[in-house]
Amino acid sequence: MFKNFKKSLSNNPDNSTDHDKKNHGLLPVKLYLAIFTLLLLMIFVNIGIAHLPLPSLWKTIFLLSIALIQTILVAVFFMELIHEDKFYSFVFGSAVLFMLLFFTITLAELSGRDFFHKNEGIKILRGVDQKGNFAPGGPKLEHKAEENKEH
Amino acid sequence: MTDHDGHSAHPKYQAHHFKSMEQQTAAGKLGMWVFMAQELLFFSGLFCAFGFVRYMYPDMVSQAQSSMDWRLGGINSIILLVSSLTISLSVRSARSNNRSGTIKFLIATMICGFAFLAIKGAEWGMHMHEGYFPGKYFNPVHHAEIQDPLAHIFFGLYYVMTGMHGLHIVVGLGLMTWMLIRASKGEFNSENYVSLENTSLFWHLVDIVWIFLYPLLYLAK
Amino acid sequence: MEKRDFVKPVLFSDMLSSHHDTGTNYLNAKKGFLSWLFTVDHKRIGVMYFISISIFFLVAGLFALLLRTELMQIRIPNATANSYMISADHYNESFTFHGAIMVFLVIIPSVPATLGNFLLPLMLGAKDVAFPKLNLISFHLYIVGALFLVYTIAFGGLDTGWTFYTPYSTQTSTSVIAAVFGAFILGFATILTGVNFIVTVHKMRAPGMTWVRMPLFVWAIYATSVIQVLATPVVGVTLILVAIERLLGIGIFDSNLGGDPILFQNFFWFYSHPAVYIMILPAFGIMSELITIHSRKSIFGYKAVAISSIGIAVIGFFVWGHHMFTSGQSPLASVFFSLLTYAVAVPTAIKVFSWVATLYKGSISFTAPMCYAFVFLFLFLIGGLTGIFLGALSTDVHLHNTYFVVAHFQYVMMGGTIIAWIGAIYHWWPKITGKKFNQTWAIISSIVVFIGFNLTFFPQFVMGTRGMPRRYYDYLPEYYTFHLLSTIGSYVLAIGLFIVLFNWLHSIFYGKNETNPNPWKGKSMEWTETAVVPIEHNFEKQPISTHGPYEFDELVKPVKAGGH
Repeated sequence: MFKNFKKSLSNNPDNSTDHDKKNHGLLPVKLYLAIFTLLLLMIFVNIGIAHLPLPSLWKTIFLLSIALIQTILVAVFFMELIHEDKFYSFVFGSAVLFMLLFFTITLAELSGRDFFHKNEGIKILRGVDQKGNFAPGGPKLEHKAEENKEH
Repeated sequence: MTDHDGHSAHPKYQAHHFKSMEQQTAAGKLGMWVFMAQELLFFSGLFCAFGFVRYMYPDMVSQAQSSMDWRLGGINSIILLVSSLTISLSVRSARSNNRSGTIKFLIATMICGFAFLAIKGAEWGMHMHEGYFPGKYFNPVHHAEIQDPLAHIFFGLYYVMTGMHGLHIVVGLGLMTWMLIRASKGEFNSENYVSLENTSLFWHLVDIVWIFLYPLLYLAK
Repeated sequence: MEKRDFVKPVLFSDMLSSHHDTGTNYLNAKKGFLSWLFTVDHKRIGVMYFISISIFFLVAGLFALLLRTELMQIRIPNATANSYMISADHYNESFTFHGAIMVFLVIIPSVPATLGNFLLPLMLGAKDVAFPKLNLISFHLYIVGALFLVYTIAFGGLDTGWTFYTPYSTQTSTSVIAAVFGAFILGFATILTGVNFIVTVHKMRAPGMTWVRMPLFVWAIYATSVIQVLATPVVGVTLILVAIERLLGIGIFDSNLGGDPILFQNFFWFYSHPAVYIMILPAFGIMSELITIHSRKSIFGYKAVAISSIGIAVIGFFVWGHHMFTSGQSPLASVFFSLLTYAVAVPTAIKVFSWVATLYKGSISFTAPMCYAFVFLFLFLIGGLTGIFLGALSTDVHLHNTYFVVAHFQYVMMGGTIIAWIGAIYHWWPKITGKKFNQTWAIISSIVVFIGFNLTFFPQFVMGTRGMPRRYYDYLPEYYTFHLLSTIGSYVLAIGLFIVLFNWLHSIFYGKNETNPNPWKGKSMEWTETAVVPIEHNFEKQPISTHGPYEFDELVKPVKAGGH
């Protein structure tokens, strides 16, 4: 995908509009309809998965995987990434990558808040007082009261 | 975006600072893809917040999701998928110099867009009927299924996410109206189509966001 | 000195193209206020940004002087919220406005919007940016966003600090919604500018200009634009969520409602850390230009400097947690962030080494821009090194939220970006305005600014290590001497900056016209291919790139530009 990038790094004087000149041909209508049918099928697959008696985590993983495949199909065919300059795929791909890194790090930060405390047997109460109530102005959940130390 | 009547030495729809139509088209497309990268990051904030809420309150989210109607959501998914197809075909028609095809498919896409908004509005109406207003206005009626006092968080986020998505649908419809006007003036042909293609790229992105919204909000219980 | 008739309203642009002018140029090509307000010429847009940014810099600077004056007052025992010259609430509003205006309206746009807009097409040999109308829309959005912040100053105020931390920002009665909406619009302007620049660099380069023949300033702007596009939307959505949380009480950020304040901090700093790289990378680009031209030597390690710009942009996205070491974030994540913070210092150091190596055996001339470049090197080095203290978890526990942090970011943001910006404005002044500036006063201003800056902020390092917290309206008497020194320094700094301002104004109104299109004998296209002041379409005919931008073929001192 960096072929054009590398070419322009060399001392090739005529670099700016080279790769724009060829105008890619049109995709056949049948291909659009085929992709459409495939995507439609996947919507039903998703609905089907949602109704299976699976644990919630697995369900989410499957659903998101199907959604990912749907996204790739839309991006590659409907958005015509398949025969555009590969740089557009790179742009979109990097945005997706940054987005995933954002999710991963943030959610890892959330779930890792007790990482060092867990082994020491310390549990931190967040957002609630000793009785388990949220702050004034928040909801009252007496049934959540636990006997825990707050450090 | 950069089209306006050029000088006599230039092709009709080429802006003065571009050397060729190819350069203009390529610049327009690259600009749109970079813009869509940022749109993706924009929605990512909302998805991350949703992930947070799911992690913090799994039971509450699970209960609140029972009020989400997967059938209406599924119909919306299909509508958006059809609209994706029609707008792709519209761009294809423009590039084949098929003016009537361009216009017909654009109108079909817009009809799908309006249908989506109508169904979404109906869903919101149903939720509000039960008293599931966002945030501090959350006040479930007595016979409503969800009485969890923290459910206002889920519903607040639900309204914001679908609202933001709906806003982008409205923007897309606005763009398509503008494209429709230009198409009916005969502006689009196999050389000059990048504005229409950019609009379709935007619409596809809106579709992709829904492809992820639907499972997360409606299906992943 | 010529006398001017001040009774007759004279348009700024007419003043710059006086009867000595060399024909029409972008300043006088079209006349009238509306021709400026609705221009699509990138140079005019750059000039308009420059004027707006200078005005906001002045406003935010006045807020800072207000703060420092309050802190200079002798402490009284049993002080209340109204004991000193401004009340505690107004103090909070002052530092909030100083911060918000400086960050959003001045520093982030400073180099990209003024110099990036003006220079990018010129350096690339293009007629304009890729999307000139979008460029104009960006400017209008900038003004609209600024108006929202002005509204906030006038009605309701804002006392959350520029960081809008929840839950205070979701509960305070000040005009948070107007402010965050203004910041959102400003973010949108930034994004559109970023898109514009990326496409310009990819698609509008002159024939023969490969990526490695571009001036390093362009590489810096390109890396900045990538950050702008990827990071700004996240803060956009975060600020919208804050506004919605205030309006509807959703409960994502406010723990009273079941939310998580650290989530807000994560989202906010995901943008705001890359934002500081948006602030500093263009300044790095300027440094590469100034140091090479004014020492008549090609940059040491072009590819290293270019790649390090991209490297900083990428790694800078993954260090945001170092602003949150003490806020209750996961300690495991803190370790990860701390490690990466040290990693991002490496490309920065590569640049500093490159500049110093460039100076070695160069023919250095102490022109005003070069003096500012030296000031930058000194101040940024201190700022960068003190960041190392803050990046280590153990020391950060003691230093977080103290004046040490304040001094650190002032050294890098102001000592870095603003100094480089002023130096750059001096450097490109003949090209932008066609006038000469008074070189002597410019050099004097750099010295006064240097002295004032160090006097203001160095004591803050010391009192920070001794425990003086930031954003505090009152403090223990033991810190009094430091605050006194700091305030005196701030007045000296203000004098230095006013010298700069008057120097610029004097040059516009009374300065002699520049006649040499390339007074510093640069080798990049904005110097070699343009008239004294560029014409509206930049070049008479399409320039072709045949050599790199730093291939100085003679080691002679350039003809002294400036003068009376």
